[in-house]
Amino acid sequence: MTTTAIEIHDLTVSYREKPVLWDIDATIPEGSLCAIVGPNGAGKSTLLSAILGTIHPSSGWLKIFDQPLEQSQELIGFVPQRESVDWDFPVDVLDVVLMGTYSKLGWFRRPGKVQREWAMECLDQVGMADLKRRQVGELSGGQQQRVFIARALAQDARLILMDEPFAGVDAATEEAIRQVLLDLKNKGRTVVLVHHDLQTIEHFFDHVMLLNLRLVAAGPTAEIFTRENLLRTYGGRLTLLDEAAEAVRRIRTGRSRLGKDR
Amino acid sequence: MIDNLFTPVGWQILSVAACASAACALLGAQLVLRRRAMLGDAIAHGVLPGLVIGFVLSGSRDLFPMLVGALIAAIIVSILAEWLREQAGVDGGAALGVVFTSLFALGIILIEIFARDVDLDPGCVLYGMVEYAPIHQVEWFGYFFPRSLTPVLGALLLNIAATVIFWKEWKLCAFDPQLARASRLPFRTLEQGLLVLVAITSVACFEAVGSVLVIAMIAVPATIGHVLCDRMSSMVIVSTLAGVLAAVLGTLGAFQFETGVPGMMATSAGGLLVGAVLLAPGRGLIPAATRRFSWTMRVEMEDILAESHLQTTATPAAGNERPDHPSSRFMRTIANWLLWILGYVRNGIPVGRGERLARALLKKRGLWKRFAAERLGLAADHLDDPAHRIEHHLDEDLTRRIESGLDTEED
Repeated sequence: MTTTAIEIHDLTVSYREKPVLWDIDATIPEGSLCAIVGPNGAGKSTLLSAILGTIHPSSGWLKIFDQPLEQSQELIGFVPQRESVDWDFPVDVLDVVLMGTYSKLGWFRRPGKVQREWAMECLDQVGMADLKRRQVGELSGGQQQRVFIARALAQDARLILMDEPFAGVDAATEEAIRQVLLDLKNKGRTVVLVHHDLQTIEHFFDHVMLLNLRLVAAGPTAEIFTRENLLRTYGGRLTLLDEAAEAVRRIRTGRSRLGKDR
Repeated sequence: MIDNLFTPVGWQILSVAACASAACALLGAQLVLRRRAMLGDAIAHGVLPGLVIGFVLSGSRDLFPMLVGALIAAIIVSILAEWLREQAGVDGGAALGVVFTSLFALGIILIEIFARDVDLDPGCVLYGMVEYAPIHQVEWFGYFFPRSLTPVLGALLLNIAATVIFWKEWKLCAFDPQLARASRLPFRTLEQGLLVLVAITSVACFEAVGSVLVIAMIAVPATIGHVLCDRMSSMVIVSTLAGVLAAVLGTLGAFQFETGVPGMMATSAGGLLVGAVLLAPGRGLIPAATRRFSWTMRVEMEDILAESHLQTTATPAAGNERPDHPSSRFMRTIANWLLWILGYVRNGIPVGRGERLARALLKKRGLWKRFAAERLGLAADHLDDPAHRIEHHLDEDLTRRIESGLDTEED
């Protein structure tokens, strides 16, 4: 249990050369339940994308289970932010969960009976088995979230990333998601999620990463989740860093300060 | 005339048109799923200069040089559009629009300059020449087929193969690009492969049906599929069938009115789309309006029955006055007629089934008021309006559950 699930070394990520994450160093041990916390625009989703490998860092490196990210064949489970999904897409609940089985199937093979049964099992875990034939757009927000969590379960990955799974869900869904997270933790899976509700962090997550463009602090919740660290995360002490990022952008675009995009 | 369709000539024209539009519809479905039907549009236009240059350099209308030219042009379209978007900060749709219209115009100019005297004229590029399909024939296995069937059939088979082989990969790329990339799928290759297929299909079909039709057939049948279907598999099949149907209707229409086949095909596809939007089961405009109308009618009829029943039994109990209703006097009149026609009301008095309906409704009203007062603890003046609204929605099962809920003691 002491292996490292994610190791981040001096990671800097930029959009159009404007850095949105600076010099992140962190390790997340296997089997932990880790919350990424920080104000809006702190680069939380960007960090998830970097771990997923969908955006390339401008410097630094990432290791997943001691393998450099680029060479790693490790599956990463992923629950996207709800706003980023096309809910008019013609798929039903079971279709979405089955997508979780695709990468293990490899090319040319279709999901068969085994995969469907496995997908149903995952749906059952989030209490959505009855709605398997529902088009995803006809579900409530909480149900939609649960479908994507079932998909992450179907991926059967050692590492699962979730982008704000608790955003705008009802109490029943919140409870269902918590139960799933606890099950995953008991199975020794590593779950990293972007989270907003500061109240629940201490009781529920064993690791936190406090993020605001740079890493404020990361580690076991008991040590890291202090009033002082939170103030440093949310307290707007980063103006200098903002200025620097702004300067990079200015030079590149040739616009005067405070252009229309941030 | 329509009889002409059932001649060998008619069949040959129809087969070319149907294959072309099915080939376009298959790819169109993929593009519509990515909300990028515009890209099909752009590539179908943008390949033109490549086609012309291929034609001029080779000096023949062989497919291969034109195909190579078109593919290069398609790649230039996507690179230029991407470059404009990234570097110049132009909006994605606008960038595409700028690139493909410019390239298309360039293509037209190239035709005017180099190919005017040969049999590649702008009209043919725009509208195709499917009507002349039967003139050039090739022989396969002892049968004669129109020469232009070869490329469109090839494109159709290629697209069917690609759709089947890359089914789940394309589905994942379209639905959740982030997961697709995280799953170590060659996301870019898959997406660009789709664009290459669009380019190949545009070239293969443009000779037969023209670039205007290629665009229509990429966007319209796929949109029909998207409107009608809830699953990707059914959407792809319906899109393809809609393409074929448009081809059949278009060819029929062209024979009937003695106009061009491609224009008629695009028009019928548009007509089919309007039909789909209006009639789609469940969410179509007409079914939805019908549902609303029949619901309003039911509420009106039930209200009238209950009201007249109360008057005849002479129990003007407080709280049974009908609240102001949003529906119009027109609806009320129709409801009155209907009740009379059905025989539910005679001389203003509910009889037979009408009377039973009235009693049932009043029972539900009373039940809900009791429920609201006892279980929800609402004040007396809060009971009437909601009861008048909810009474129409209580089915037998709910009624029974409320009844048994009221009979048992506090939960």
